[in-house]
Amino acid sequence: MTKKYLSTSPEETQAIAQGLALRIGSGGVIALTGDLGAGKTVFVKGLGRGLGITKVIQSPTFVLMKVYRVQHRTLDIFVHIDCYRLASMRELQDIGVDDYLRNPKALIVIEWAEKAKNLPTPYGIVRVTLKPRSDHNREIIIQAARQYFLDVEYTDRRGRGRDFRASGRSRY
Amino acid sequence: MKVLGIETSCDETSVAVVEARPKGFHVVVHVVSSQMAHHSAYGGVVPEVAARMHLEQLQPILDSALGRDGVASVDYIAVTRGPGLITSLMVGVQVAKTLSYMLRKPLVGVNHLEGHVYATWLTEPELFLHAKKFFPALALIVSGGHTEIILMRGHGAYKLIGQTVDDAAGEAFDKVAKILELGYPGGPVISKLARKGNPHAVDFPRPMLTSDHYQMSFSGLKTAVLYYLERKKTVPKKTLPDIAASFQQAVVDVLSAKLERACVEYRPASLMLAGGVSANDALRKELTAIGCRQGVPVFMPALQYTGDNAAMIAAAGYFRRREATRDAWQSLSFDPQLPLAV
Repeated sequence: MTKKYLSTSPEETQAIAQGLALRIGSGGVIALTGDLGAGKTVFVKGLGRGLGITKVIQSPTFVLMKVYRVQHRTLDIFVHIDCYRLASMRELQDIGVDDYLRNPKALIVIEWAEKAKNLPTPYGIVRVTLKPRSDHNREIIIQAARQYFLDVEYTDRRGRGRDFRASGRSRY
Repeated sequence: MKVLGIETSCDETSVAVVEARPKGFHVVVHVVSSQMAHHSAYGGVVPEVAARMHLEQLQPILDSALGRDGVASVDYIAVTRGPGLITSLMVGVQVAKTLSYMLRKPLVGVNHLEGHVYATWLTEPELFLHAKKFFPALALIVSGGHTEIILMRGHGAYKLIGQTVDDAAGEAFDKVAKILELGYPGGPVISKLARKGNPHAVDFPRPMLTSDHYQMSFSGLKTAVLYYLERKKTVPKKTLPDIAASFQQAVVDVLSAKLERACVEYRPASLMLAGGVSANDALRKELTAIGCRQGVPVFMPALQYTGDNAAMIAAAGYFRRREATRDAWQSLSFDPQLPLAV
């Protein structure tokens, strides 16, 4: 399943990400791709909001990985990884990412995911691509297996649908 | 009283013995072994390489700098327990715990950021002797991984006033240096280049400059530099200093505006600068100016103690110890995301 959005502002990008986070049905990986300045940080902040994280989500570039506790129907942990400085995926395993990959209640978002190919995740993977169309406009492409989402059919076209309130169980 | 400091939170392996004398700190031994050359090819620190190098270097450094007797002569041991790279922190903490157990020396876990704040204490006897006179202190901590304004009411008493909501200021320097193809780390190269440039040549955005809170943001600034270059298509080499200077000015403006406003609101008895970016001369100048305008003394670490080092950890450990925190070797743990204050 592929969904395309056009975001015209950082706020809208956050709302789209928030909508995605609220619909996540189980742990897994969100692989984020997009150049410097494409809005990856903004997108992750939106995910964080959707997961009920009140702490400020800061860039993990320096320490590579930051871990947050979350308030969510199906998730416990949110792991924010930045591969910007990484030479290979093995480095992620060196700092213990496997523990989270195997945790069905952990959602792992990976910035610069193109550097972390073939990540051994037993759970779902959502691919998000951010493409700048102009200074403010971003095309956001979200690809995932359909069953990964809760009540995905209720999503409105802007990603802030009624499904926020849906109480459906994960079909994953 | 002598404190052994051990610092391995990122890519510097450092060991120091700092003695607290009646008139101030005396740095007896101080060794910093940087792994920078091994990491610069990757544009950052490789965790596994960093850990291995800490492991290889720490014991030889301890042996050559202190010797067995030197280690045995200290009164207690202070070690960085976070924040930092998990694999790097592990090595220092494990070595410190082992020494603590073997030599029966008390062990103190230190927050790396707290260490940066105490770097200034090493070379300011006035602070050491009359700390109370300078509390509450407003500290601006700026490094590759952190950008925070902290109100320090006393030793070990910190309150978070504001912080970056995305990238750290030092990280913005690194990323802009990468965009400009200047290499890693970005801070020193940009600062050097900026000295020859016009800081008002390009009007880069100052995110959240006038907002009435103390949050800061540097992610958009990096993007603005990128777009500026893309719009220009070709960037003649001779304009690079102007771009570097303008970018640096934007960072300094945001940091100093926030600090000055916090200074007006919280009326501290002193201002302190800490962290790797405290080596930046434009920022140092601006802080001095704020101190003059607000009539508040300003403390900054000596240049040799701006980077990650164990002397500052020992100094912080000294005060932690006086405040009667004692971490047993059995229970001391590391925490890659250890907060300084909430």
